[in-house]
Amino acid sequence: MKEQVSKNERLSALVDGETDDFETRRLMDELVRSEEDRARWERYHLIGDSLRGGMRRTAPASFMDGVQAALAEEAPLSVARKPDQPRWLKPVAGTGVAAAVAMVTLVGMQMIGPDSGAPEATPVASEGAPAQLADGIQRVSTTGSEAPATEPEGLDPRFARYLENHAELMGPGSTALGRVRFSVSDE
Amino acid sequence: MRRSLAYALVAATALCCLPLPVLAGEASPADWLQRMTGSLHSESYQGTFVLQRDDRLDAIRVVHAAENGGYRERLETLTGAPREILRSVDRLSALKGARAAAGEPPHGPAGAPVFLLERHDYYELKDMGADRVAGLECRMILARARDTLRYSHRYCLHTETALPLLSELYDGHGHLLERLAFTSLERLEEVAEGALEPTQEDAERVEVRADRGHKKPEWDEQTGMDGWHFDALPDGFTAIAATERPVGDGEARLRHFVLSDGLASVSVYIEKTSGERMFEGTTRAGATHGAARSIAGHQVTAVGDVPRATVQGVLDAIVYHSGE
Repeated sequence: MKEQVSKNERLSALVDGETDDFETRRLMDELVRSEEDRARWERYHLIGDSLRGGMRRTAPASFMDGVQAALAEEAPLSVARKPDQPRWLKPVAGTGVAAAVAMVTLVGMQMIGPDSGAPEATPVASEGAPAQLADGIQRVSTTGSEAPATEPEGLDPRFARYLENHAELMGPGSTALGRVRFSVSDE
Repeated sequence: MRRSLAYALVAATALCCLPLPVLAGEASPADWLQRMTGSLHSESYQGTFVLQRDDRLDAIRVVHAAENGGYRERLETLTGAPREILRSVDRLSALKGARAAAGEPPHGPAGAPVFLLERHDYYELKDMGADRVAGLECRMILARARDTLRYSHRYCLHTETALPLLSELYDGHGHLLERLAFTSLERLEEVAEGALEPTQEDAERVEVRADRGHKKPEWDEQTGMDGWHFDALPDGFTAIAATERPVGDGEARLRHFVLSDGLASVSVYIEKTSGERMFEGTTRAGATHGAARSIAGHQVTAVGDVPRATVQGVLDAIVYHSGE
């Protein structure tokens, strides 16, 4: 049965948390191995991001159509039409998401980023950075020796759901608009 | 004269919820950051901002209407695939994050960011003076990491409202990791209903309501929660939030802890998992690092916008006492 399902559908199911343990494991292995699969999976995540947990979804039934149109090169995502399938990772906090969260949702995650095996900054370097900041000069480039460019390795897909969930709570810039926004106690 | 009166009125309104030092005109950088937290839910505005991450730049238009302690907003991508989201967040949900909204007493734990910031001085806060973003006067506030366990943050906060017109995240080398900047922002006294209406047929609607469904976690400083707690966390980090909720129909629980040093946050997820889903290792996406390992039949994953060593340090600090 599963063999007859296209790769697209399988990846889509993975993104939507609709795969069983075995299939999940299998797809993960394939993702780790195949850059092409990972790219496809990432695009599905861009779709899936908008359907993520932590909030109640009341999108119209035709919602996916529009997204599909925007991603015309992709095959139809029949799986993604099911509105209330359980997500692979359930919403954790479920509350207090704010503007920043929606921004993340809208833009989608920069999921495939190089993973740095390089050591983190040294204290000396950390002294240098703020000095540069202190003179008020804004850097234009975001590329740097430590940050995005050191290693070709992509995001480990097995972490994706956790990164997404964390991003929902924290937002872009991690603190600017998304400082910790929920409490231990619940109403 | 009228102008200054008007200004005074605006200022008085904007400042009414602030602690005394601010009213006295001695706003410290910490005061500014606290104002920022409050401003996010208490102001109505519309504008456009860009979000820069790695080599990617996205532009988003936002209309944000504060109402009844909660808010509604419409967000629309201006780059890439057209997307639109309409969100409404009720009062309780909004309060969980920014309790400063209506001068409410603190709603969260004492570990709310600003308090943490005062207690643990792992950032050097610096007022870098006036600047201008999106044509608006703003105050540049730098939270410079004192060590390599965290990143540095820089904000330019709108002088009148403390809305973050610009916010940036820098690593220890001074390299920009993320930047969010408004290119235009207009405060609104009232938001026309039409401005919150979807313009695209496929707009997504999101409602955020205070979730009353799940169990209130019982967290204890010494024993943690259900046998899980932290021992020797990276400097400055404290567990500030914990939630748990059932997963599926069984007894499985997903636990989520949030740790913070006042500005940066790390999430820790703990779930009982079968062998097939277990994994260990580290990863990175943009400024976010993740690290995972298994403890006593549980998948434990730490994720945060902090350097890799910090995420790893948090992961290593997790302790489980099964017998308790």
